[in-house]
Amino acid sequence: MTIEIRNISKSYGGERILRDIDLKINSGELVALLGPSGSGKTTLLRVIAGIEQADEGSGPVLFDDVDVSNVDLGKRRIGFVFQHYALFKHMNVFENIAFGLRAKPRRERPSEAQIREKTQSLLDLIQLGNLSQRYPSQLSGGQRQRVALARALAVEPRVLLLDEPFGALDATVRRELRRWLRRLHDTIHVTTIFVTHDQEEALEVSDRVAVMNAGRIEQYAPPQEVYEKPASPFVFKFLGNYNLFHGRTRGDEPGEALVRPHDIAIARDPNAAGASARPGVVTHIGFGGAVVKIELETEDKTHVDVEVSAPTFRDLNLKRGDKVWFALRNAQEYVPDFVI
Amino acid sequence: MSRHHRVIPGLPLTLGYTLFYLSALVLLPLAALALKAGQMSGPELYRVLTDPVVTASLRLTFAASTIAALVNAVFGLIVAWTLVRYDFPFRRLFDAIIDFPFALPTAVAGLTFANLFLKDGWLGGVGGHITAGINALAHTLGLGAPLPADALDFLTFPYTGQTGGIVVVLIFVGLPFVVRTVQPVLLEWDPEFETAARSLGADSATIFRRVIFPEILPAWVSGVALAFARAVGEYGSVIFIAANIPGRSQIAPLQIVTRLDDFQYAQAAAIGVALLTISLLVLLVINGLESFSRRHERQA
Ligand SMILES: Nc1ncnc2c1ncn2[C@@H]1O[C@H](COP(=O)(O)OP(=O)(O)OP(=O)(O)O)[C@@H](O)[C@H]1O
Ligand SMILES: [Mg+2]
Repeated sequence: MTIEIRNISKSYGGERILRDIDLKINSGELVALLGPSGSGKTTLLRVIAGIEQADEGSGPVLFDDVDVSNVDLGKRRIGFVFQHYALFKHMNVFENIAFGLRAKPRRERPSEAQIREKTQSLLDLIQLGNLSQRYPSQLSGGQRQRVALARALAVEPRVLLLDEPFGALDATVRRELRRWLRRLHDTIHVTTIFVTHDQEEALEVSDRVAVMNAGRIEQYAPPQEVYEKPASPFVFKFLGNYNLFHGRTRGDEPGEALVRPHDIAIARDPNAAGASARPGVVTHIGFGGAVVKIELETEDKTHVDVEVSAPTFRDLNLKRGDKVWFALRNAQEYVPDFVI
Repeated sequence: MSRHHRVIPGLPLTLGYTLFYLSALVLLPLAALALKAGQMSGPELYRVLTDPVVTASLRLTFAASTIAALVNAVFGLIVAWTLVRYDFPFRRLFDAIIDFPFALPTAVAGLTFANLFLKDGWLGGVGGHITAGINALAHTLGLGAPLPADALDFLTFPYTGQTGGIVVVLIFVGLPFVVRTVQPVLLEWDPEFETAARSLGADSATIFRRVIFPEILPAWVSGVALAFARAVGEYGSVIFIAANIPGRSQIAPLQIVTRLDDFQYAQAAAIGVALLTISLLVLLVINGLESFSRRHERQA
């Protein structure tokens, strides 16, 4: 199912949290809402779900081109997964997953046998078939997360909305679960929006990323495009480490250039580093496995972070205090944004 | 409680203190009571406890207390729910009023209820008041007295001296227990669970029955148990509203007081022990229910 929202605003007590948001999601797409804390991701997700109402004067929320703005949460057929799971504590895993089926009005309710079958197949899907009698308190965080997902899927939602689905988990489990989510999405193809403030997660899992900042969507594009052509300095800065160079644009306007640490070439020989290479002195070397982080100090005392691969670093054979040459390979230039 | 995690150091000390405290305040007096009752010979004890007046009083006490506790169970829950979930004018005032039955001397409560509900009271005598009014009006219009004096007695609350009046005061004294135990749980309740249930298509009734109620059940059950226990021991307010006819409208605590007045301490103690034993059994059953419902509530 497609989701489209137009011109959505949301205020709490006079403070505008969402500002004129437009967003269109294709059927079967997996979209990440990425942004810093407080940027309004959860609020937007809750408006789409129908948990919160958008402000007066906002545009519609369309599911398959049908306006659902006035459709009650329970009737929108969405699956919502909460950041803290909100599993029912006094129900075991099986009953949690079966809840939505049992809660249906009598006419639509499947038979007990069908409920069991459906729940069992979801348990298999989340690979927790052997834990169906456990209670939420007896599960690990990752297992609870998967139960919450299965519970949402049980009612065959048209849309899946996940609020920081892996937020409360440690790094390894996160990585495992997000790949699992991607594979799951590839099998069931339900239109999905998930909220995250982890750029790596957003870029790795989603078809498209909507980067939010202060109640606005700054860029909405596929991961590669967001990463390689950030639409604004904010997006650039939010998506990874960067170096900021102040300078002048060709039109002699004051401007700034943003460069990723791995987009800086470094060499002992000025000619090898590339055109317009500048000198610097190594002030720190940090080993991080496959990538080595090198800190340089230029003649005008600015710091430059450079990342090189471990083999390159071995060839360079650098030590602290060595003099090197560096050149910017791929700089993004933005005229400073005066609009705040 | 968990033994793995001691917030207060020195388990032996705290345990010892708890046991001492309980013994001095609860167990010792109870033992003394049992001892006193034990002064009687077996057949004598049997005779006291099977005395129809005594059994009737015990039956009345437990029947009235049970009804009162059940009524409080329902309405206490509704009151707690309303106070937490809705905002209305004077909500804080109503909230404060809930504690009144705790503070009010029970004799005052009994007297007040008696004045309201007994046959001549404002509410208890409402049928008689209306009849008298109509007749007076007819009389001034020169129509004589068209209604017999008891014409509207069906309006009279059936509280006059019978179990009904007792139940009403017992409801009064028990109300705060249910409200005050359920209220904090509802206040702490995370609305996210409700939103989750709603997003899964559950209607309000289902959400209450399957999501909210199981969560407040343990607190609710303890509140009802407290209200019940309080009703069993209630004396001051009941004697003002009950007709206190032995064998018909006398509660067990009054039986005890009557025996004490006759210096029959052992008999009084025996009835007291019977009262306590039955209460204990009831409370044990209720507690059993409660721990059953708490079984899986280990905090996530
Ligand atoms: N019910 C509410 N009442 C008042 N303000 C709210 C409410 N919900 C959210 N806000 C405010 O709206 C802003 C955005 O909140 P939101 O929860 O959407 O942020 P978020 O992007 O999800 O952040 P996080 O990553 O920390 O979850 C915050 O400044 C928050 O204080
Ligand atoms: Mg959030």
